[in-house]
Amino acid sequence: MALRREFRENLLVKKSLSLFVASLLTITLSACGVQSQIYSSSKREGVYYSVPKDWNTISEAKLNAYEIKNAKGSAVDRQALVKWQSAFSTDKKTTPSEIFAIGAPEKPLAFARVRSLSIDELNAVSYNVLRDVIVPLSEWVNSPTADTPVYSIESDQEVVEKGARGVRTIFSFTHLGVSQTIDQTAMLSNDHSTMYLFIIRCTSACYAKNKKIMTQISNSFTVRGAK
Amino acid sequence: MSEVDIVTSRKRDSDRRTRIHLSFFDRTKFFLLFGLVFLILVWSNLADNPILSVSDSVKEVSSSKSWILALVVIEVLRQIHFGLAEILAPYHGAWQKYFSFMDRQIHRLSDWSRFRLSRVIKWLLVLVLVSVVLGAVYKETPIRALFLAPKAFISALPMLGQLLFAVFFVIIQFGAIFWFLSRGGVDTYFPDDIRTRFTDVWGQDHVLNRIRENLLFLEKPEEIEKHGGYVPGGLLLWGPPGTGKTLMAESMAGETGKPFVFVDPGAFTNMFMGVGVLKVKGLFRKLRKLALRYGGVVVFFDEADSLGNRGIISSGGQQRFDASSTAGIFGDACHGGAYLSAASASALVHEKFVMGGAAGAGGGGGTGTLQALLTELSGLKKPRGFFNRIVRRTLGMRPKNPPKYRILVVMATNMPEALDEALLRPGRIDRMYRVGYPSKAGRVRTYEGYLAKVSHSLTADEIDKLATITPYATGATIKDTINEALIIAIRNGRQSIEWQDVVKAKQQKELGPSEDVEYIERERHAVAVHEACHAVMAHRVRQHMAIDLATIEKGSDYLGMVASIPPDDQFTRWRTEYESDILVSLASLAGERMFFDGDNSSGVSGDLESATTIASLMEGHWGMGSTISSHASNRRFEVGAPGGGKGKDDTAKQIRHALSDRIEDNLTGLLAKAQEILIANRKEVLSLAHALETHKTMSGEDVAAVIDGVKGSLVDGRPYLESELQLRIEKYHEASLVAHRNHRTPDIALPVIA
Repeated sequence: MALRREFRENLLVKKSLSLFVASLLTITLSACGVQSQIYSSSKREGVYYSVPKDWNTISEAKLNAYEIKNAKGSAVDRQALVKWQSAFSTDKKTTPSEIFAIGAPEKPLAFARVRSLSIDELNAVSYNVLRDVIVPLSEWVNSPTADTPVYSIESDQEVVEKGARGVRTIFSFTHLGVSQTIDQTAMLSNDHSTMYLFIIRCTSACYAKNKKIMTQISNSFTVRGAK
Repeated sequence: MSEVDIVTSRKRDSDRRTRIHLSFFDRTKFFLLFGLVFLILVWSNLADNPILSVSDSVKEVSSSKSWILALVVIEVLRQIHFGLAEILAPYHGAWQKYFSFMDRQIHRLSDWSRFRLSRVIKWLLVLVLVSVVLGAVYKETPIRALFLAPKAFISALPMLGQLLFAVFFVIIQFGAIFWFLSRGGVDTYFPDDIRTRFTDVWGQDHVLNRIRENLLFLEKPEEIEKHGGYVPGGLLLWGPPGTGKTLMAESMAGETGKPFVFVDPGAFTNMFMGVGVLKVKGLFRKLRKLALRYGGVVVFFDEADSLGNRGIISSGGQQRFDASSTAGIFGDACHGGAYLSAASASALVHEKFVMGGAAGAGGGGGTGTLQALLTELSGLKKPRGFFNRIVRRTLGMRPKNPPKYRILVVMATNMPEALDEALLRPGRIDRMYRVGYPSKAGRVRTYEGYLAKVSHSLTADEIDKLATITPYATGATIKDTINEALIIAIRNGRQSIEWQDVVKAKQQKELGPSEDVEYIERERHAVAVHEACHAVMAHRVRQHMAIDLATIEKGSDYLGMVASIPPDDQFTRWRTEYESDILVSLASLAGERMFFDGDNSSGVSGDLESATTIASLMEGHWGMGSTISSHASNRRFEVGAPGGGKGKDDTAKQIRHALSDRIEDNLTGLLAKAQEILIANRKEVLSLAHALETHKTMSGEDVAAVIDGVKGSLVDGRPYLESELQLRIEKYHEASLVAHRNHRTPDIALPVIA
């Protein structure tokens, strides 16, 4: 009896080991493909997001070079505070100027930036300041004037992450006759020293068309905070 | 022939045509290892990026760490190769040929060169691996990372220092405690620290000569080493207490020009386990150092039995048959171990010790102390010194042989049987010397030595006589006796020791202080008659012993005593001697019955016990009775005594002849003989009883003088020849007898010699 049990146990061990090795080999060999996503991250700043693998990257170097070249006045100082930035677009021909221009892009465009805050900024920072990073949205809402463009706010909610907290606002506005939708997440690090910004935008028609994928990308934006 | 009968060996590797089948684990172990590494990498990737999916992590690791896949492929190829070699003989054969060719090529290099080459390759491999790992850690090129690592190490030094301190603090505490505990018990004397010389040891010349020889070899080792011998490393001095073993060691310390290390008997008794081992190691480290510095060292373990032993069983089957260990087994007469075959002797020892349950172990300073000592005495000769062991080896040089440490180990004990068998083997203790009781010449010289230190009026003849009447005197007892004699002389207002002081001192030392109890007259007379019977019988029949003294002064455990001493150093005993001993013992019973009308006191109990014991031993052990077989063996093997007690054929006659009856027969015969002798010596007994009643304690010489009617040194025996005194003594005895019967005081007082 004991011999049979031992034999059975041996067989069991052999089977499990074989299964392990076989599954390992299968996984290893089947994994010889390309990743399903492009993962963009700054591990030092603890910022991560992913875009579909057919998106095109605009390198950080190009973005920095463009900004430095075109910065004037206080923008120069602000540029010096940038720690990391990254941009993706479905369009291969997208240039850094399109990233930083306010005009509505025809195709989806994602941009992430990590920047230190100056002392003045740090003193003045609030959720409204975070909402107003691209356009003065809070001003449009609170004190509309004749110059206030046509705009609509789809959603506005607080976001709390491990390393930071802020607001995610999805809004549309018309500029030069073209309506643009922006999914904007702006967060402040827990020690208030760093601002994390992620925007994904394109014309409102384009957004409506790609809403699912754009929401997915915006959802992937994760801030763990600097190490 | 059945299959069971065919015995076949497992095939040798060279006899196989195919490769031996790998076990399942051997086939899969590398896959398992690689799999594990792969999983760890995937896991670390996932931990690194919170939004990464598992499948993307697997893909990422597969593409970025493709070397692991390469290793898997290599392992697959290897397994295929093994698989083919297990199935195809030609394939396996071809590889074997290739391997043997490679082996031949590699073995062109010497073993030493191959070892060094492999060491270099291993180091390089480790270096490469370390740099690759560091490169991954620092996100730098491996070479650059290799240079960054020492920098990081230096910056981490303060923290490492703190950690090391934390660790070493505890170790240092322990070390300090053990260091303090392992101090003490060892004293080192340097030449000229001790003034005792061999000339101060008297009466042990034969041992001293041997010791001198050992010291000579220690001081001039080349005398024996140039002839291919070695300096004896160990001496054991054993013998009864007080015979001068420690004094001899002290004189060795004084004589030798080498340091002398004295190890206290209590040095290895410790509170904690392991301290004893440390002590032994520390001691021998010290000894080696001293031996190197001074060219030799003597270490003396006093009372070496305190080192203990590991039990007689530890010595294995065959026992040693030297006098020290087996004297107790074979007796100290005709030593059985010397002429019996080894097997017979071993059987005897086994019987006595193992079956007798005397396999006592233990003692010593705790677990491992003795073993540590054994190892240090004759263990591996380890290379010494940091430079020798580490630096020379690092440079690829062979360490130098350890130097010759000339350490002479001397041990002293009065219980050699308590020492461990392994301790006494040649190589550890090479020579064993018995330091026995000094010979008569030695005793004379010892008396002369101690008397020379005091003022005395003893003649050479008196000193000789003193040596004769103190056969078992040792250096210590002689010194004590002379000192006691001096105290007696001073107490009596003299500065110089006289003969009577020495005799008195000897009596005091042997008998202890008397209790100063005054007997009532009739009891005093009875005790005196009792002792006189012993003394007269001894004087008449016992030639192998001389009377040392007779006393009727009450001691702590006796009423009176007749003490005897052997006049010569005699080592064998004879039947006639034992018979005379029994006669002396039985004289008291015979005498009391004779002089007190058949009455006798309980004071004879001790005498009867001695007589019976001797008679039993004669009958059952010493072959001095009517049978031959040894009662000791009969009893052990439960075979019964010859002629009685076993089986159906028991008859009254056989039982009558059982051992105890034969002993009783013998004693009855001897009692009758004792009576005859005492009847013939009635006058002498009463004379001596009178002398004892008068003087209380008498020396052997005076006892003989009274019996023989001559002048003794302190008592004159001549008046006892006179019939008038004899008559008075006889009357006094009659009066004492009446008093004894009626329990009253005798009518006549003890006669006084004018």
